[in-house]
Amino acid sequence: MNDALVLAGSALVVVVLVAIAALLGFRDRARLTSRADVAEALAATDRAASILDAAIDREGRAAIAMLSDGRLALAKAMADHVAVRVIAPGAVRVRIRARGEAALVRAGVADVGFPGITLHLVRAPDWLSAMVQEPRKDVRHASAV
Amino acid sequence: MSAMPAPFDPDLIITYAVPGFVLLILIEMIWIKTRGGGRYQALDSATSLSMGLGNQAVGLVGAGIVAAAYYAVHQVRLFDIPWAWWSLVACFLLEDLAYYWFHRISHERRWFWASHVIHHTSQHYNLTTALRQTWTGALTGAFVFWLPLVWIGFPPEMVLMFSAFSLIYQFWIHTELIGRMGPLEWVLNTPSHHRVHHATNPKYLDANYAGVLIIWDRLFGTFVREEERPTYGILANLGAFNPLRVAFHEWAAIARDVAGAKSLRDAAGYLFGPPGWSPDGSRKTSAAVKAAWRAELDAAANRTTSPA
Repeated sequence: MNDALVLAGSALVVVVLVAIAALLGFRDRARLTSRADVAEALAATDRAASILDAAIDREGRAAIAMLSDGRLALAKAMADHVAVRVIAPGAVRVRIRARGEAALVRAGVADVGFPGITLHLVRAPDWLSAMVQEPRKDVRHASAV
Repeated sequence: MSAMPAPFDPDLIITYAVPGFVLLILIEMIWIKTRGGGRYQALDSATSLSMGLGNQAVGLVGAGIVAAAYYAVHQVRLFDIPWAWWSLVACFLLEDLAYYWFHRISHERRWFWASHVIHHTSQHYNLTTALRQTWTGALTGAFVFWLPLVWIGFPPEMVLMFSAFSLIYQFWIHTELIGRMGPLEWVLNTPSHHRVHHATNPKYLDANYAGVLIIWDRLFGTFVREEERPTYGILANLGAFNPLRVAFHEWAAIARDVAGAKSLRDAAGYLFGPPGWSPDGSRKTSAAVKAAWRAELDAAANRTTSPA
């Protein structure tokens, strides 16, 4: 009973501390707005990698880049930092759906610590569309927008 | 000095320290807000504090496992060591040495890293990072590093007491607000030394494993001085704040690797090899990253010294 009370008190303290952190304005968010942003995040993981092309979420929350050596880089804004995975194309699951005039791209890897990224794109680049393992009817539509 | 009984219940040491932790976190937050010098992010702190809360909850069971192991081994002790000034000094030093090796092996062997990596998953370095603790420590058997002390004959309560003191000591060094501390840098593990330990800069990898005394790193060749600004986190930073993902991501990766292993040797390598080990060497261990960085430096040095 005593242990349960201590734990409950600790949980309350955690909530209060996080609320104070938020109230103090510690809510910075990283955004990926350009290929340069993606390259900068990538450099922290793999300095030798260079980007051929990148698809960037229109809100700047994530990006997926084709690298010059054929690998892919998945980048995800994590609060005020960016997390990156560089991986072989065959290890990435890509799904693309039409969302109105745009394309909704979901890319995931088998990594519990990196649960995948979601990108809202005006248009999915061809190299990304080609990675969809089971093309849907709406992929062509999304790519054509 | 005559022998004396255990002065207090070691289980309560951390509990009594928690209000101090909370107060110092508040002071650090307000200091950074008003004067700068460090960084906070509410989501990151929420994850760190949640991991600390989970560690506290799991510890209700884990502490029992550890204490049971300590008392079992103490039954076959070599000597009866009393609570005396000399035994307290000896126990402090040996507990800190045991911590050094526990911590070093926790970085060098994936079985222990899967548990310890949690503490390194924040890309921030502030007092909440100190509380980002594992949920699976007792299950890995990490307490074996302290069993020699109770086997020699130090009372289990004494060893637990110094382990608790070490944990409390290591709280305050998780800050960017304190620079260098003069001559204390020679002897103590300081914020500067521990920033190096939390950094992913190639030159800082696999360094500064100390608990309280930095002398062990100096003695065993793992000391690195803080020279360039540290970048915090792990080589493959997490893309999740969910505490469950943080707690178990490396265990899940191990399970996936072992399930896909082509031989027992490969499976053992995935379990007990260095983090980043793979049979074909296609992944990067921290030693490989550091070696590549050194090779780059050497190549650059050769370019500048070789005649045109």
